[in-house]
Amino acid sequence: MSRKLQGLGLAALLALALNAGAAHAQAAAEATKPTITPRYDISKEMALNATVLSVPSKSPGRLLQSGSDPGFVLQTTSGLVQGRLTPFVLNEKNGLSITAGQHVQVTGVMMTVKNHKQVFVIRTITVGGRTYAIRSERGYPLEHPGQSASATTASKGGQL
Amino acid sequence: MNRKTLCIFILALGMTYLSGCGGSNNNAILVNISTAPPGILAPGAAAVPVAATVIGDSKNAGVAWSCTAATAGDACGSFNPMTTPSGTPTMYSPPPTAVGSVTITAASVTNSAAFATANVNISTSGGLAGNYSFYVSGTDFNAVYSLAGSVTIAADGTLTGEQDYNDASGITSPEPGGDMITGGSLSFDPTSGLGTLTLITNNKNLGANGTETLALNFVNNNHALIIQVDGSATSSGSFDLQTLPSTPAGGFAFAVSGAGNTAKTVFYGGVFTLAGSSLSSGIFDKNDAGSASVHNSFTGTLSAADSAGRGTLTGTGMAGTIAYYIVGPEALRLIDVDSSSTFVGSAFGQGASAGTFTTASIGNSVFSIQSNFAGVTLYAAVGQIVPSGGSFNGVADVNEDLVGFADKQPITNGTFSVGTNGYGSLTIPLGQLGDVSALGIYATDPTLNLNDPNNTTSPGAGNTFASALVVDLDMNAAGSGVLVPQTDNATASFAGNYALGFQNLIDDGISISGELDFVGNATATANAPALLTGSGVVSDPFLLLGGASFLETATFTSPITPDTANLGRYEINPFSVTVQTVTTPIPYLAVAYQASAGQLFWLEDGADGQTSVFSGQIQQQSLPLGAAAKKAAAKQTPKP
Repeated sequence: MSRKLQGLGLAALLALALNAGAAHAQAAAEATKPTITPRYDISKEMALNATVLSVPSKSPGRLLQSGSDPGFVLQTTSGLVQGRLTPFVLNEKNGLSITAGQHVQVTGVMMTVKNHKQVFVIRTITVGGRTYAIRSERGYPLEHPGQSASATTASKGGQL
Repeated sequence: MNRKTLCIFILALGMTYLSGCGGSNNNAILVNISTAPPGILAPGAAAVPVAATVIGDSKNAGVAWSCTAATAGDACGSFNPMTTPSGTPTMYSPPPTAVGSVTITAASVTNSAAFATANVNISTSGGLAGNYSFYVSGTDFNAVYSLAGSVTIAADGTLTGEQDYNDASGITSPEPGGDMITGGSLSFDPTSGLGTLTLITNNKNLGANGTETLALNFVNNNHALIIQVDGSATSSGSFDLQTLPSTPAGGFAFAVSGAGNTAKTVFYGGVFTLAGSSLSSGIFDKNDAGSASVHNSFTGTLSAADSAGRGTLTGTGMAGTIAYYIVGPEALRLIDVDSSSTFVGSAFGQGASAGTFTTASIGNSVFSIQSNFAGVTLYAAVGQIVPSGGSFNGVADVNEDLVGFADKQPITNGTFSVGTNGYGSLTIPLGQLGDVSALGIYATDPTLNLNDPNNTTSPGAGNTFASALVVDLDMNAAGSGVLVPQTDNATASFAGNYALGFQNLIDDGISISGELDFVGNATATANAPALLTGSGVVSDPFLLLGGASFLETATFTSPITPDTANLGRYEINPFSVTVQTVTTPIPYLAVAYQASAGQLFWLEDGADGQTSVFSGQIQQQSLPLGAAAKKAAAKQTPKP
């Protein structure tokens, strides 16, 4: 059974078009720098000032009730934004304390994910006067956001 | 009367005759145990029948039953009734505690010098005994974590050992010794292989106040798939008989998965050579959260293993200290035991192939790769390749959570190379398999089964093509896995009893994230209707399914549809899993690739629309297991 490629195929083809060579050259000691488009493209980062409307709940049964929890929703001057945290941000240990009604500043990239949802993938979040990096510059989650040093990377994009 | 019983009968006859010569008034009496107990019984298990026949007893007085435990003073069980007519069973009840070997004696009531015996092992471990290593990789409530260890199971089922747990987020076993396993138990159903391993540790931070519980499903008596199920963490891995002592030496390939000291996902893979305490000629590749660094040279120092097969590896540059656990001379489990970083994985020997690998060492193969929970993309990819020189074609499936999926993707003009030391690379042309393209491959001994290192028959001594450990070195896809020879892709071969498991990584990008793991068993039927029918247990500490407990039972009956255009590939559609206390079955779809009749790899088909990705293994079982297998070896031993 053949199934249609979704965003994955398009992204991969785009990567192919931009790619100038293989990502992995083991014969040489020097790593070949890949030219694949990063899934998290820091050049498209922007900063948002927002008020937290909701944070993800920890109620059970979430896999089978996808969509029932609004998740991390931010109110910006331009409207509502669906924020994407990392699985580790709200951990009891090494996590952050974020509550509805708080004012936050987030930097990240707006991305389209599965099922065509638009989410703002957050890399840094400033809450309570402190800035935390929750992802690497390639978008990989950091497991210890609560322990991270204040992020100082300037936003390279605009603001909503 | 079978041959063994006949021999026992003749021996009993001879002994009774000799005894009679000693002055017995009834020197013609013969006793034979006609219904033997099982070889192994669990403590407190239900009573079982045992019977004996008495020949030559003119008084026809029957049989008197008694028992003794191997250790004086231990309870040995009881009989009801204590005496029986010849040929009439009594019911033997095992003692309430695991006492090991018990000898049951059937004696002639008329002349107690005429008797026969049978042995039964009172054990919680299904009769399995010896040294076993285990390792799992998964997610606890802090982070990605690693666990590896070794247990010694005594004949009576008592269990001791040592282990290392590390999430690098506040829970790291105290070093240099790790945690002590002071007790516990192994129990399982010999007809299905599904069971429970309980480990009582001296580390109160782990499991439930120091007690870890793992579910396992035996593939054979030497190997089981295993997941942690105590609600404190969830993970998947392997449980394997150890060959101790063993001295690892020669060429090795390795791969590990975890979260490094930058608190991001990290994978290492490579090759090295061991000689005594010296690790030399090491080369590793690293994918640190999408930043690949390849062909890094390293050396190291290996400490001697202790009696449990645990030692340390230092000076590698990958971690401060790596603990290793010996499975056998060509199989080690590796775990980073630093408090600031974690990883776990395996190193496998290269055997006689060390130093002689070429591109031709890789034949038709199946590969399986998976991220861990700290990936930028949670993903799995499984496929099969047909090499020709340094290139290959094939077909594969990839499921990248939140990003997309690609089913049955043709792979064309892929390239690969393998150095004489087994260090190599494999490239899937960009765009053919999502974000999966640049793989490091590290070749191992062609005779080794990477997923069941004690398996000497598959692939076996005659196999010439190497397996390999794999690390995905892509920017957007960091993961690890294996590549194994595809020796049998016939549809008819995917049939019989299988143990199976998967690791399910879940993140919807909005509010749902976590991991659940499954282990169980199933029967696959090759003939129409081809079905995969089975059951098992689900570990769901994040309560992603909304069940009543973090540990649930699950069942499924799913059609298997062979991909006639790509022999060896199957769609299991739907793979609808009914979980005990969850109203709605999980509507998975799945795809499997067959390396051989004994070994398949499967992944969740992204077409199911779930915000999740699972992958795992399907391994053919050798039944019966444990007690049932041992039953055939139970002996009746008449004594003078």
